[in-house]
Amino acid sequence: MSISIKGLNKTYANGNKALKDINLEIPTGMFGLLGPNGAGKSTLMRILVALMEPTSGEVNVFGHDLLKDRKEVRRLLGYLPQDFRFFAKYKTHEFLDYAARLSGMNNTRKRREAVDQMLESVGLFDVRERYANKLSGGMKRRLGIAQALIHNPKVIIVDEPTTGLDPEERIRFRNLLTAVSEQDVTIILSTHIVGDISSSCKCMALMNKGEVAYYGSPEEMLRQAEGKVWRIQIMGDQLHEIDKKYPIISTIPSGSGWEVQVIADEIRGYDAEPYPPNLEHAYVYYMESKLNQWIIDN
Amino acid sequence: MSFISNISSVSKYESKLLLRSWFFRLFTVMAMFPLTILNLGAFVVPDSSGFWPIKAIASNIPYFNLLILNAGQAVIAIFLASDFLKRDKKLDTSEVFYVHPLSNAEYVIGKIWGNLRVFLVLNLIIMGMALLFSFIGKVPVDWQSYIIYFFLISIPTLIYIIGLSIFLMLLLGNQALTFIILLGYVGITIFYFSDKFYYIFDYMAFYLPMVKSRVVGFTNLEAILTHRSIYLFAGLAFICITISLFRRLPNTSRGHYPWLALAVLFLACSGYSGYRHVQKITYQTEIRQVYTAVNNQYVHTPKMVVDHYDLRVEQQADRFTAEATLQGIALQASTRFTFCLNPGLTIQSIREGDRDLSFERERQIVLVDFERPRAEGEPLNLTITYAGKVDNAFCYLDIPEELLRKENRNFMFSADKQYSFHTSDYLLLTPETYWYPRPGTAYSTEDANWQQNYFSRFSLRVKPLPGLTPIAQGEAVPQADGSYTFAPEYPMQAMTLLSGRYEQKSVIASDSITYSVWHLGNRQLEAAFDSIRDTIPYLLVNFKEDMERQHKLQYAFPRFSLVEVPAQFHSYPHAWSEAQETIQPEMILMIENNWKDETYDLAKRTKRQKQWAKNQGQEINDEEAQIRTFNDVLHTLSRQEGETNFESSGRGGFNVSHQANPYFLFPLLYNFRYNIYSPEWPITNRMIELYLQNKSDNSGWEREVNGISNNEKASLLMEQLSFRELLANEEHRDLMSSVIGLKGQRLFAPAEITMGVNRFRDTVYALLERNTFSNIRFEYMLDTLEQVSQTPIRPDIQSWDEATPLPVFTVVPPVVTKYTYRGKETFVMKIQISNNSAEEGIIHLDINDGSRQTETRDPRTNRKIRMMPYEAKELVSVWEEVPRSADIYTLISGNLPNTIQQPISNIQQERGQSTAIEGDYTLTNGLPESWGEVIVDNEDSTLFILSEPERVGLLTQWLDETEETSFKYSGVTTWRPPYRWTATTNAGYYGQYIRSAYVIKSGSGSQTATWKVPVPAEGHYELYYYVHKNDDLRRGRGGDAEYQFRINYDGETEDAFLNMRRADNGWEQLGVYYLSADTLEVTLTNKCRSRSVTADAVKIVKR
Repeated sequence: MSISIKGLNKTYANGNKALKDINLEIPTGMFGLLGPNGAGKSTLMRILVALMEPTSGEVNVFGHDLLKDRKEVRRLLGYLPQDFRFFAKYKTHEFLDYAARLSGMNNTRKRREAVDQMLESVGLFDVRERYANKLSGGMKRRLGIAQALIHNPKVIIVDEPTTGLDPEERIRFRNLLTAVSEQDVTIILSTHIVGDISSSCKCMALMNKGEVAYYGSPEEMLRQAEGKVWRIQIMGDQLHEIDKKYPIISTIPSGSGWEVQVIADEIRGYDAEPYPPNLEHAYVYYMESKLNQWIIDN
Repeated sequence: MSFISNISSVSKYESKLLLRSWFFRLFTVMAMFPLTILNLGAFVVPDSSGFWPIKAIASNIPYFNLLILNAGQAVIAIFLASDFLKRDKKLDTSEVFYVHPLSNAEYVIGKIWGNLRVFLVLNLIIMGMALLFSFIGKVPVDWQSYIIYFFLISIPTLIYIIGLSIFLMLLLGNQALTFIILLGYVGITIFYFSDKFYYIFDYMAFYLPMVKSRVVGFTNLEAILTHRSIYLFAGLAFICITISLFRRLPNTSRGHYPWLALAVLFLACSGYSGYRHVQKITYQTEIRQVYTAVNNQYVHTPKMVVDHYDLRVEQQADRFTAEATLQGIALQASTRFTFCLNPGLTIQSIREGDRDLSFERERQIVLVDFERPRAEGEPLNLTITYAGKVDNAFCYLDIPEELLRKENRNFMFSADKQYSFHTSDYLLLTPETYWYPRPGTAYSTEDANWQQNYFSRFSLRVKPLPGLTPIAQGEAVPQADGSYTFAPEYPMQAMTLLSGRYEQKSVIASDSITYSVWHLGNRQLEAAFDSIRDTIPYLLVNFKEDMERQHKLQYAFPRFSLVEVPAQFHSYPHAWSEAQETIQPEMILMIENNWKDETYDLAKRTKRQKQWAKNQGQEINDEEAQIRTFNDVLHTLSRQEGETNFESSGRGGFNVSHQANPYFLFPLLYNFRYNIYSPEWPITNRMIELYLQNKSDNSGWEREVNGISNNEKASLLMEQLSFRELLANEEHRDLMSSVIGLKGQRLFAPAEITMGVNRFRDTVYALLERNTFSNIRFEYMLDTLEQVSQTPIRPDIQSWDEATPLPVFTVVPPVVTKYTYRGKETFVMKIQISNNSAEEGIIHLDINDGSRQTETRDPRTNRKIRMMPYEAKELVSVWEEVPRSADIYTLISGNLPNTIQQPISNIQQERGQSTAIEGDYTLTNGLPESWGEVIVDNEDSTLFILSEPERVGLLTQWLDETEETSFKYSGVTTWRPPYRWTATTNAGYYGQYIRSAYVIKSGSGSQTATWKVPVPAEGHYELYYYVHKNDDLRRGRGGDAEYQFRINYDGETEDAFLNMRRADNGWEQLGVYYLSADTLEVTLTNKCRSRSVTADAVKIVKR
């Protein structure tokens, strides 16, 4: 295991318990951390990158105790925070160069090559002279991942990387991460967007209200949702009724009525047929049935 | 390695940000622009003035530039330094840098270094600019000083203020708040604390004395370093605290503790430096008190009089060794005799002939045991061997602490104050240091007895360090062993010794005097007067003879030397003498380039002479320009007053005061030949000095600015305090000369009345001449003068222990009538004066009859008149030519002003022979009164009423604030008149004794002054207002300015207007009114087109 987290708790000064006894083993490869807003994902991420101190618990990163030997842990990390919008007055390549220097790349020539290469690979080489503040949202995020990757870290922590991106950028960003995950690194991807947990995620955790609700592979989670997703054809005036009875995943207008996908162990009294679940269905099912909570995807 | 590389990475990118910030760019421009202008002004613009201190001392160029830049950067750094924490907090992208393995220390130090290095570059640019300008201005470059000032001024300031800003920012978490607090702090340190509390708050070294001498460098380097350490360490401590409190998890769990420990250590260092700094200064105060106490203890112990001093001195790098042989007689019978030697000097042995004498030493005092009793007058002979370095704290024990601590500042430059110097290649020892043993004690507060300065013969043999030239009184005769002997031809009270890399430029003039300039490689004088080398001796002799004529005293030394001494040399005027340590027998010790006096910017002055001549329609050549400059330089040695100080006194007013000119040559004519001494009164010598100088009161423009003259203040104080009390009064130390001078005038006035002023003065001069080079006992001098003048003088001294009730006089302006008879003209002048008090008084009359002051004057033009209580006199004098003016001084009196200067105008013409007979006639009925006239003046407390002051804003109030003084009258300027009715005096105002008026800034008319005039009987009356036109009105400013009056009488109100442009000085009619026997109310408002309105006096005259 590359990272192991034991009995991690975080209580904020205002008494808010953000993390409650988190135990996680994170293997090499891409690790998805899924959960609704406010589930404690970012708190966990910030503790993992040593920006925040846990109230109690242990974190071990590649054999280093995060609480005692932050310097060693920091050497291994690349981090892209959730919010990554406002820059000091640096040019794109300067920002990357600064990050590179701080991670110990002291050889000027090598560093310059690495920076150029990284800019090339994230598609920012053409805008390298542009002030980072003037980049578009997607470009900023790419610059973010570039600075997290520039020094070839063993652990890359990306917090909600696709939020606010347009679909094209989102796909591009997922591909970029997938490409990185091919290498021998650990990527921790925190997201509340189920679609971000791609097939390359071998392991994942679902967090809710500061607790780990699910830990395992995405396939296993999918498997647990099998037979629990139904498609119902209803008339227009029945929608309200259905909504009261079952968690609705999607509604599509069809003819004079609706085609509704819902989560349920079984359906009675409607024209329903089982539907093969995807990860999103599984997530909803999980949240609904296990935790009795309904969330709205954006 | 990673420590350095991380810091350099962070700093590189921090600097980048700073250089890209508009704030910093703007500051750079704002710093460079005015500095360029100032440097241009100093070095390039031909007729700029006020920049001499920058050019006079080469090291002042970087000092000046860095001082100004520093004041700016100290403010800007606050903003920029606190900015990085704000930025880190605000920008969500900064966190990614926190994730990297660099430590908090590396990050914070990197950020600070990033800030610092940008400022350092700016400093380098400014210094480069300073260097460039000094090349342009052809001023020598003191390379060392660039580095030194940079490290003394900029570095500690920046580290401190940056440290403080980020610390506060971290604490408060709000940049705006941090900025405001620190800006307030900066403001307070500059404008309020300034040099107070031993400069301890002067973090930007704006006030700290740091002028560096070309000759001796810094004289207070240790003090400067200690002071700067306070802030350097405090800055470092703040940085360490910031590192330890920085809001990022440290690399190791206990990573912040070492920084906290370091912060404590630095704070301790800073605190210790502060303690050392203050302690060193307060120690001086304490030790001075000890020295004075020791003097007091021994002031009455027996002492000898030295006839001959034989001094042998060997100069060494850090000390000097000396042997002093004193020959003389015992002044009292005793076995033990008291001597005084600087406490920094250690006595090795004392011998009488071959016999060692035992002695006791207590600080400066040496008690020598002569083994057997010596009778009064018995010869004494002893040799004292001693060595060491003089302790400057021993000097000027008589000068109050406040004055000692006062800045020695000119323009932006504050210099340390040193009274002697001892470095590896320079030595300066003046008598004030007691560098050789002298009989008796030094300054005592108990008894004036210590002051008896006997004249002795001196011989001196000096062995200077190799390459140095010694200077002392007498001709320097080189000896085979490298030493020099000096044997001054005349007796002296004390001797001076200098030794340095002196070069001499000298000339023997027609009066056989050797005139020399001794300089330390400074060729300014030589270069400036290259065209008039042959004329100089003539100019010098001419100047000397002028001085002799003016002061009626002889210059009796065979040499006259102007000796250059280090920039920090400082002297104070003692209460008992005009002579400062800058003046020594046959020499003037002048600070480097006389950097405090613009006159010594010789090259520039010579250029400007031509321009000034041109302005007056003259064309002069180089030679003439140099002659004029040379004479200007000589003038700086002949004027009594030195630097003029302007101090703001609120209400737009200033207080003007003058420092005594330390280079005034008078002591060379008087003090080194005569000494008046009284065991009881320590100021008798000063009294005679002032009497001889016939010092006029500051009655000109300064009186107008100050509203009252020093003599007037002194007079008023005498009514409250006795002479003795005033002499001990530190608060009024600045009035000391006036007090002593007035008392002297009063003391000799009876004799002057009997003998005539001029004859009496001649007697004093003759008496002095008979006692050249001896100590004259004041009381005996008075006895002699009493005998000669047949007038009691000494009784007046008995009144010196009592306050003086002041007489008041009414002076009617002189009336001159011209009589023409058979083609011959005679002028009869009548002056009426009355003493309106129960005190006897004396007035002085000075009539300008057109003859030159220095010529033998008609005794009638300069005389004193005694005025008995309630006596009125008419002074009648007959002149062949029209007298030009008559000045009446009321001396010690309650009159304000105490000088009434009356130019003679309006001469009445009469045909026929004058019947007037010269003489002072007593008017038995007092001064004639005008029947039916009623005058109400502003001095009338019941009949003159002012409106309540208006409520004004805080700022106005602050600007308008006046310093509370014990004097009612203050100066009023026409350009910024006061917002409230302010009392001021002027000879042009109306007043029976006090010619005063109230002045206010013109306004809406809401401020008023009201005169309530009692009407004696029903009838027609002419109403008059007393006009005195100030500068503005005389020059016609304000156009047709009209004073607006409201006249209230018999229940009716009328307006009256007075056109001030057309009005003449004196009574101007406002109108004619029919009044019943009641009160007439005249109200003047402050509504007027002129800048100010003056409320003085009104009168009614029955028709």
